[in-house]
Amino acid sequence: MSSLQVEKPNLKLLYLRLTDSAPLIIARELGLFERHGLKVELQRETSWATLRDKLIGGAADAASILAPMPLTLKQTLPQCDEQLLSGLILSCNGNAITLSRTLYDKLDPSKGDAGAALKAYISSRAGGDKPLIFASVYPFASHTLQLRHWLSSAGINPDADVRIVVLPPEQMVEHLRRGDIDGYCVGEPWNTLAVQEGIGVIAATSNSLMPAMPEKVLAVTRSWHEANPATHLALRAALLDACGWLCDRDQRRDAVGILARPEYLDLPEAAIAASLSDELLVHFGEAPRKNPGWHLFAHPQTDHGRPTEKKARELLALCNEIAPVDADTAEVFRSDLYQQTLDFIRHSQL
Amino acid sequence: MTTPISILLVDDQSERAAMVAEQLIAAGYKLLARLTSAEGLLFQVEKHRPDIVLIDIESPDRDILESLAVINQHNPTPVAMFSVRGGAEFISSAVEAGVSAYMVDGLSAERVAPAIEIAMAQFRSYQHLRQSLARTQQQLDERKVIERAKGLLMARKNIGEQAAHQTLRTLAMNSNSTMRQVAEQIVAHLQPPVK
Repeated sequence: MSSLQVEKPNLKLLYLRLTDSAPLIIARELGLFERHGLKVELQRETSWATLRDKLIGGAADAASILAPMPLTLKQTLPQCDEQLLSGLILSCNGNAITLSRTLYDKLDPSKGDAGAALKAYISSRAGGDKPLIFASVYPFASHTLQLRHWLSSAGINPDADVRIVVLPPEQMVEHLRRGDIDGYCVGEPWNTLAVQEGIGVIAATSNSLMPAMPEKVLAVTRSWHEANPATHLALRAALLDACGWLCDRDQRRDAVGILARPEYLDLPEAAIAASLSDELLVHFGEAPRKNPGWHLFAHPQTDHGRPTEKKARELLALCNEIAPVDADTAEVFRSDLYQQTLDFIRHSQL
Repeated sequence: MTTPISILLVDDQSERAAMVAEQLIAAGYKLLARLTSAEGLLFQVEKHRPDIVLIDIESPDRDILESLAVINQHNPTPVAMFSVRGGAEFISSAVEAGVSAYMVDGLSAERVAPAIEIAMAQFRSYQHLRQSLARTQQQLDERKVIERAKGLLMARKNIGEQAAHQTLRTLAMNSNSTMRQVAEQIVAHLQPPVK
């Protein structure tokens, strides 16, 4: 293995309590960072906005973030001169839409699938009824896009017929339990967990709605990248290795126990195991169904990990349905940096 | 005397919240409510309609508030953050980067007023940016529909681009409507049925 002269060997990486934070956690546990000359501390955050601001403010070196976040930075921080860029899409898919048991039990199954039944239920409600409330995790997130897409496909107007609000992932289950919201779109394991606790029913998975949509990307600031190009390369190589390791089904099973630990996700193994094994538990007490491709991690042999300008433009076009966005940011998806990582890994293996 | 700025304070540590509240009141602000995250923040903001929300940077509820500031078209609210931890270095870089809110370390009375002013000023400039983005989008949409209408006219009437443009303008003038309205009508009439 050829070694890199990294500028900054000690790094701090940020993540949220989600199953698809796995590449960071696995890279650390398997010693993949060390193999590339890095010593990495992982720090768990509870909110996407805080994670983003710590990254921009220089309180961390890199983070696993929502794919649309670097593209819509100007929308959320209009005065910010800094840019976020990404040279690696860590994963695609991984989310689902869950309805509360209370809402689900009111739906008439003869009306068709969950979306159609929901549409029929909303149409049957009186004009004065409080609109149903659905939650997503961040204004510009794949979750918001998938939720809106699912509602629209069923003939429900996401802007007029329901209300969409934002909640942090780890508060979703509790808000559903309390009846503050009627459903949500969130990453795993927060869908499986609601089903296992008997308070939610999974209505759709993100891989069935918008297959291979970029979900989490490795992000750094532009100035950090310019100051630490070799460190960034080492980091991408370590994480692409970890993503590749996660593509092996048997190894994924080993990942469950690691992710569940108190210092990482601090959640039951059974909740984390489901989506990593492509098992979809729709109703409490039922046998799980197969849901191939629920988490699609990057792999050097596929193109899922490559952040292209085309993928950026597709995401931006979808984000534009939520609020007007600046489309000139597509170039922060750096296909060239991804290619550099591939070349480096191949060269190292010679 | 002007109406004091009204504040909603969000903090899950009650001791600290009490201290912060005391200082806010001493600095002349109107404190509407003190919340912990368990109380359904989203709905409390709607109920109280504060001028500004003060929140700890470590609070998981920041995403909720940010979505109210960014997306909610009806009732956006500026957000300021405070941090007891965090450190001065982080605060300065956050401000330098133009983070849409400002953090106050420890929240002393002398520091809270400028922090709140900065957060509100940044919020107003953001609102301005959003309006200009919306205008740009509208212009883009308008150009698209006009181009499309011209294309349909050119194909249907076998005329050139300039003649199509002239037709649109004449129609707009004669019917006392905008080019966009005329273009929309033409597209609605002439577009081929969707297969």
